[in-house]
Amino acid sequence: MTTEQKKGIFWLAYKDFKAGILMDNPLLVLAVGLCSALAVSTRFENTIFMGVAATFVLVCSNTLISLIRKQVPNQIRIPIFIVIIASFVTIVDLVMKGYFISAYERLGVWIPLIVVNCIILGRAEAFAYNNNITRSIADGLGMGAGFTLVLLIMGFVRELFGTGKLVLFDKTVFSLGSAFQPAQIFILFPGAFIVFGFLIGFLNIIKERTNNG
Amino acid sequence: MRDNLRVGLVLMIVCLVAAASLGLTYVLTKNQIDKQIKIRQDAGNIKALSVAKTFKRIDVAQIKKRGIKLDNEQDKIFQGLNGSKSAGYTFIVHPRGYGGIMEIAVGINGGEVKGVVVISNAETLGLGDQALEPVFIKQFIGRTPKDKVEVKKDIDAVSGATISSKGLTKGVRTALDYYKKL
Amino acid sequence: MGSVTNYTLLFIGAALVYNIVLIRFFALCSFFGVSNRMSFAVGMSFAVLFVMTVSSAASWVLWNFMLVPLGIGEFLYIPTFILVIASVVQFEEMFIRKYSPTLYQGMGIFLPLITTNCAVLAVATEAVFILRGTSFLKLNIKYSFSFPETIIYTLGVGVGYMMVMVMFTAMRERIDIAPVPKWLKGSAISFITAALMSLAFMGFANLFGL
Repeated sequence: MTTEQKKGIFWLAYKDFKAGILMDNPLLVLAVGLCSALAVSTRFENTIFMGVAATFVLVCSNTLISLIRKQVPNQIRIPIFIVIIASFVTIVDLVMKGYFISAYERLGVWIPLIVVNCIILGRAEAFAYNNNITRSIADGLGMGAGFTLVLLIMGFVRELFGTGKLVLFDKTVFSLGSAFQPAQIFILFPGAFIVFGFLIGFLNIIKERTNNG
Repeated sequence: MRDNLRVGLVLMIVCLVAAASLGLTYVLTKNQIDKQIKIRQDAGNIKALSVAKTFKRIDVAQIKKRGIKLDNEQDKIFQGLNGSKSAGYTFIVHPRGYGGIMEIAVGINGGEVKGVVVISNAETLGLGDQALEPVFIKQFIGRTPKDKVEVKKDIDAVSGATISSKGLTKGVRTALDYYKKL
Repeated sequence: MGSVTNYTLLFIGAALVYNIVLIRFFALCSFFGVSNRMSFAVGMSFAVLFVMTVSSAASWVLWNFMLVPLGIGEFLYIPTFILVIASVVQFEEMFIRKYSPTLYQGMGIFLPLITTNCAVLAVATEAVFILRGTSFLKLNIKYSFSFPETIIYTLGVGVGYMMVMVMFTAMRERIDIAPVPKWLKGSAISFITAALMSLAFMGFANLFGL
């Protein structure tokens, strides 16, 4: 490849990365990967782990699938994707059990559910199977970052307004004071839907402004 | 025919590689995982029976000798020691909650429940796990083997988390039953 | 744990009190994706019910008679369960394609998407063993649902899913012609509606002492 072509790929990769964070945000725009996002964002700490875990699996599976894409016959690509993604998720599962057991227990069944996180299978099918490694990695990182970002915002809002304080690794990092009456609805499930709905609304406003401005 | 062979081959290779890698990861992490379990159990013991400084596991043979039938194969009984003096017992029991089995440590000394610590649980976030809050657990402190320790009789359940409350209560009752036979 | 009362409570708990969509947050992708037309919603619900039940049963059998005795369960359960689900979905797709081509045409891409339905994998794993806590690691302990309990639990979850799907679809059809502020139109207002439905379902808490 000429230097010109190489530069072209990196430029495309950069655009892929940026897209996943805002304009094509997997959660707010593409509406995939919702289950784990809404369920896990009851605590800010959980969102950190889930975001990192999902991004790890996404990047690894995108990379591996992009690497072997020429060797995989079309009719069995889905089972192959599934086996690859399931393997990376199992690795995350075992590692978390060994080194982060409290977070592991709090995330519970959502860790194996990363396998069916529509984002990862979706990107494998829509992107990694048809693009080179560099762009696939960039796409993975971008989508993962977008996912994690929304997750962090939701976790932050829900825990802060739902319990009045932010607890990280057993230390109360931030507190709104005892005068603040927490609105428990935020950590319950209706609260998640409401916060998420409004986030979509805000992104819509941003998108309209950038399109008009 | 060649196509089918190719498909089968790719599938087989991918699955073999995956299974092998996972087996390898498991072997590499198993020790660490077991270590973590032990750390949490020790922590549970210490919090459940703060008066004891060290704990000695009472092995299965001895348990059988005293005629105790374990409710769950994984239940463990520890004797708490302060130096060389006996300082009560802790019981690691596994009652059934709503989401599955919980592991709790119950510390009993001098005929009274001194502490109840939830080591791990699978209760529903925000709903069932309200039954694991100190407000609910407080009810168990000071209970004796003579008490019924049953929801609706002498224990108030957490509304919306009845099964979880009942599970935790059953665990404490199991521990008290073990203590009775010791 | 064998009386009819216990099974009934298990079913009601799974369907209403701990509803898989509105209380526990599973199956959201399909919930929002398929609820635009009633025929799709109903078809999807039955399809999911079928897949869930068969997969959970198969997973239970595989776990208790293969994974556990061989001691490989702890690190092979994820690929095994998900491959079971994928196979069941594939089989169901072939079946529907053969016996009801119109339904197959109508449901289109949503059938293979059942494989990624969080609820299906979640129920298979939950019915089989407990994920959190140390009890999971001692594989020879009886801590899972019994086989009948697995079936009842899975059916309960499936029926609960169906109920909410139908309700939500009916509501969405109404929302489409209601005056909604421009920046909330579309998915935003759907989410907020789902939030209100979720609040309503929380009223089931403590039903029959569950």
